[in-house]
Amino acid sequence: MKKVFIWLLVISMIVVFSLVGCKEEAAAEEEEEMAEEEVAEEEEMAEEEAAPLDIPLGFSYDPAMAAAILADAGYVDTDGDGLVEAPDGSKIELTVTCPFGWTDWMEAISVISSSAMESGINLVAETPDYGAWNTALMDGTFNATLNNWASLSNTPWTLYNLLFRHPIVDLMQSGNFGRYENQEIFDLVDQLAATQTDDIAGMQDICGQIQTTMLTEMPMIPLWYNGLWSQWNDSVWSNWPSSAEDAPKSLPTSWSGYWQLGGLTTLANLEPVEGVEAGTGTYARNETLYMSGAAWGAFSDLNPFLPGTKANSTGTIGLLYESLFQYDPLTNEMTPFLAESGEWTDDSTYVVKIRDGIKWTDGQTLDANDVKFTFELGQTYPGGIWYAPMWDYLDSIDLVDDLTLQFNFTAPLYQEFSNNLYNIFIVPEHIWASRTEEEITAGINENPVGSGAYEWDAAGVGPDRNVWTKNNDWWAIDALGMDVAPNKIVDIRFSSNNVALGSILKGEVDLSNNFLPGVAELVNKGYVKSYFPEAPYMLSANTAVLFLNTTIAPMNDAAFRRALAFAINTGDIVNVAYANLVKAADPSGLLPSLSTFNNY
Amino acid sequence: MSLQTKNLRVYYQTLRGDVKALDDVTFNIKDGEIMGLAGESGCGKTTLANSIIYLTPPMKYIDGSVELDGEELPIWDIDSMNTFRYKKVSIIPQYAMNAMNPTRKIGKMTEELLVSKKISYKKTKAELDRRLDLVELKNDILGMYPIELSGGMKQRMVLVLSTLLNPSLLIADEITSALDVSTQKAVAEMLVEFRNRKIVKSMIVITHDISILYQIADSILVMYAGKLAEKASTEVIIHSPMHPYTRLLISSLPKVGVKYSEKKLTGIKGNTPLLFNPPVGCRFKDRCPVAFDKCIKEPPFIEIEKGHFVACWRECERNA
Amino acid sequence: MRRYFGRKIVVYLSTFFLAVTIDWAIPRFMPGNPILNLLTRVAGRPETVQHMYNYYSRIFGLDIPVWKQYINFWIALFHGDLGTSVLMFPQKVTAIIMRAVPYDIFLLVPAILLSFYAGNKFGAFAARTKWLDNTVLPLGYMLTATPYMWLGILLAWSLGIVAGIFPIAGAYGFNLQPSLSWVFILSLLEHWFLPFVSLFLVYFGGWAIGMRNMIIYELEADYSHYLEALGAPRSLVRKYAYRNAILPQITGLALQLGVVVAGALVTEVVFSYPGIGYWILQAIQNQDYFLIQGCFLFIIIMVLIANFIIDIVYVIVDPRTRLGMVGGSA
Repeated sequence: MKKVFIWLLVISMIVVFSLVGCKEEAAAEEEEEMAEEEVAEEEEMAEEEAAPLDIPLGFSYDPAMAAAILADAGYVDTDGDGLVEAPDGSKIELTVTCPFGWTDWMEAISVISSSAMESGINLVAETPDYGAWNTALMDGTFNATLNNWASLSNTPWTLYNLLFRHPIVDLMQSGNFGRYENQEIFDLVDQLAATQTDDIAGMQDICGQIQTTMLTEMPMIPLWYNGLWSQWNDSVWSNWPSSAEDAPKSLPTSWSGYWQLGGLTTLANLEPVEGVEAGTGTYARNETLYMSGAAWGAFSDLNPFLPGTKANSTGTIGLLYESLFQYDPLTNEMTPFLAESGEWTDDSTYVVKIRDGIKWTDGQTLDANDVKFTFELGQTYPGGIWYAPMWDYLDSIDLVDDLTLQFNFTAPLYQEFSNNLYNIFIVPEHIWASRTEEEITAGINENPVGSGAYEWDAAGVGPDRNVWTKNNDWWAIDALGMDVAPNKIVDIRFSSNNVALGSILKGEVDLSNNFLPGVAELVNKGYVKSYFPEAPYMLSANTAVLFLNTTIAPMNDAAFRRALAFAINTGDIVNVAYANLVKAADPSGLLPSLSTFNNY
Repeated sequence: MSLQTKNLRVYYQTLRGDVKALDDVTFNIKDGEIMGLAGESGCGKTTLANSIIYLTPPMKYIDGSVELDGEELPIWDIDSMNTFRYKKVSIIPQYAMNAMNPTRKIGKMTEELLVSKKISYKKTKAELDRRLDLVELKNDILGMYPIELSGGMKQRMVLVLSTLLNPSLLIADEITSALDVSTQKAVAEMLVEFRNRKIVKSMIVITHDISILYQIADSILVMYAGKLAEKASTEVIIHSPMHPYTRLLISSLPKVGVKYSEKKLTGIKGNTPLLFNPPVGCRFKDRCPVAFDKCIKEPPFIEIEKGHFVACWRECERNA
Repeated sequence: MRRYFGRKIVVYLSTFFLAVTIDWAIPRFMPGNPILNLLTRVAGRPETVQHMYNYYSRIFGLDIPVWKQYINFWIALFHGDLGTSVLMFPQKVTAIIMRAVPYDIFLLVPAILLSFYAGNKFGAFAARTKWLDNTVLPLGYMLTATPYMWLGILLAWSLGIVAGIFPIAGAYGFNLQPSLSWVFILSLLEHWFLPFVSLFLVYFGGWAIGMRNMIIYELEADYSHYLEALGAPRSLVRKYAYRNAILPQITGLALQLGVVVAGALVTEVVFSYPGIGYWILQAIQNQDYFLIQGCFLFIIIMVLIANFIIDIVYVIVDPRTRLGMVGGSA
């Protein structure tokens, strides 16, 4: 242990000092750049006029184009080392990062680095510790780094809101990590947020403008769609969703925050395989679904309001607590869930009707009061509740009757609000109303009372598992004719992918939502199943984007960024780093489910 | 005749070949005799001692016999020698200071040793206490660990321990060299006392310090380079040695009453030969002041006077 | 005696103080910011995220000057409060550790003790058995030099997946609830076996090699030769040599038992065994100040206690230390 201590101490000292140093340098450089930038831009314009270069808007891997753009913008190799220098003759030394241990990304950035190098751009792959990486990301002290935090959404706004998050502040915690400043595009994103979700033409128009600017300016580079990693063994449960014609269509996932995106539907469609015996365990094998890949750590809490992804008790949102709507990314449709209906009665009024007869597991009725209470928590505790910003444009919530609510807005951000309709989870007022701020924003919420398909099984919880027991009185059985098949769900945390792989092969686990490198081979051999029988095997879950720090030279130069986009060999990332488990992303960055809004 | 050694030959096996550490060694020790064994370091004194009691690799038995009280000792056989060790032949080793297990109480260790030799500790205890008394040790020493004892105490304890079973022959190997002069004298006197009380019948006292032998030994055997040089009574060896090596050895000793500012102490010139390939003939001839052509042949170890054995051609000729 | 232990206690206390201070300081000098990690992926707007940042900094007591944090840390420590985990927010660090430690004890104590016993016996045996010394001992060297990860995966793959005899993950069957039933106990043992065997093998090699070398040294010691010269049977000589050779091994044992709480990090990752080793890795990766501190504090305390016990044991088993003690206080 002594060794570890010394090692930690030394490393931390070095890193602390180097970080301090970097920050000072960066600040100094920034000032210089500001002055230089203007001059550079003028020169650029003059050159472009002389020999206009025809650059396609949607980029693709094209080293020749990358070279042309670089040369055109004055980036040439003056010292003959095979790497270009900046127009002012200074050397270019950039790094591309991802957290250490994220093996797929580590391979991806090595592809990014090597293909950029081939095009003469000195971009070196580095893998700092997760914490250091995260801090650099938010502080804006990185050069170029990968990120994929935009979640599956019914609106293109969700992605662009992340990519062009504004205003730029000291801590860019939730988007626009490259600190790209462009009021025009900020305004467009705001305009998109305020566009009704059924105004497809309007959204297309704004998206087109955003995409045109984005692809000309290239402040960040969408590269590939990360997979919705899921593989299953159908020896105990059958009728899994897949691309096969007669198979049900829904997301085969147990990830936290995905139950309301089709995960529940998958549970409802499952059918027990005949002839499986119950076995000697506490849980009958033929009635239990074993899954892994959702939990990142041991059980920590059952509080749907805590920051983070609730990854440690994945069912908290979706199985235990439920949202007003569900969203199906495969059909791009939102369907009422706890709500019976919801509609905009005018531009600033939204009326929700709650289903009649929904009961909390303690027997109390779930009604409009609970919904009002839950939404109003964001108003009461702006410091600790993530959806508090909604109250900037939400004026009040009126109870029309026990089951009807009216949301009164000032200037509604329709797109954000529609996201919230399936991402805010309703809690029982009669239990939560008496809790303190700390209990609500930082409490464990033991013995939870929910409304969902499953109840928390306190007896089954272990350091490496959560257990959920079916709620036989679930309202949706009658109301929606939707009945989840497994009586028990055992949600397992494996500490390594090897174990997850072994367990799914042995059939000890039915559904694995871990990223298992090389699983394609196992699917080909029929050992496990995935959504598609061939590449890319997996559905797409989110977009991996290469963020470029636009505050430092030469990445403050759009031409340079654009050249980089053409220099990256996305094909190799897909084929080599991921062995065909992913797809290359559309230059717009939007997931295939939102391809309607690709308009550049 | 207590001990009879005939033509004993023991070599050391090394990677570079055999070291002829004991070559054709023949001598006798009488009952009640304390025989001193003297010679330079590396002359084979300790090898001789070990050969008689504990002949282990890399030592290798080649030839010859050792008889004790008329019985032949199977010195070449480590296991069957065990019957004789301790009961018949015993040793106070050179390393007597470290001879006792440091983590065992002395009494406990003694008990375990006796029990392992199938001897009742209880029955021996009374004698043990008497012996301790004899060497002026309190018997609560048995409850102590070796580290709690001084060097002299440890030496005496080992003396008691080694002689507890009244062996015929006791080999005392360099037992006094690590002690201060007064303790040396006390230990030496105890050896004599043990012989006088017939606790041990006879002794071989190995030392390079002839002055100790002068005090306690009845006879002295001088060895040189793995061979016997001279054996005679202590008086004879000290006052009228015959072998040129013994003479040099004796003359290099300081003498009482002589002022060394007038007479320089002389050492013996030259070094002992390496025994991988010892010189042909007399092994001392290269350093010998009186060597002559006959020395090219090996001199016999012959009795020129009663009880006086010498291996030197000069002495043979003079007596011839 | 009293002075000896008095002096020892002062040494232990100052070591504790220093180690705990370093333990407190290290995570704070590590790059990264735990609150940022906690707030990662909160889809808030930049201006509201700042609110949440301040809010949670206050909850964790990280919004006050560092020297105050340090004092608060000691105060809390004396109340047995190791703070709240960031990674496992809002769980208490002590609760997390207390849940994990039983698994470490269950896995590591038998592995260490049995391998200590068997390894030493075997090493002593090998030292006097030429063919063993020439065959099995190199195997021991190989075992201790094998990357543990590799050995673990190999075991899991061969006995777990291919042969299908043993489960490869978890502390008990995923189909069971903890209970006092034979089914549960059997499952507990079944899951324990592979990680146990992998640890046992590696530790065994280490002990055997150590003992083999020590005993050869002891058999050449003067007291061994003296006993042999007096014709003592080999069993007695070996018994003495073994007893003396085991003394340095005991020190090693104590240190290993001390870090039991640290778990066998790699074992626990390879076999998904829910001990504390797993948490240390997670805590470091996620800048969980409080969990890192808590885990290492436990290790520090256990190592110090183990050392102290060994100091006492040594005084009992090795009289040479006692003399040092007298000398020390004189």
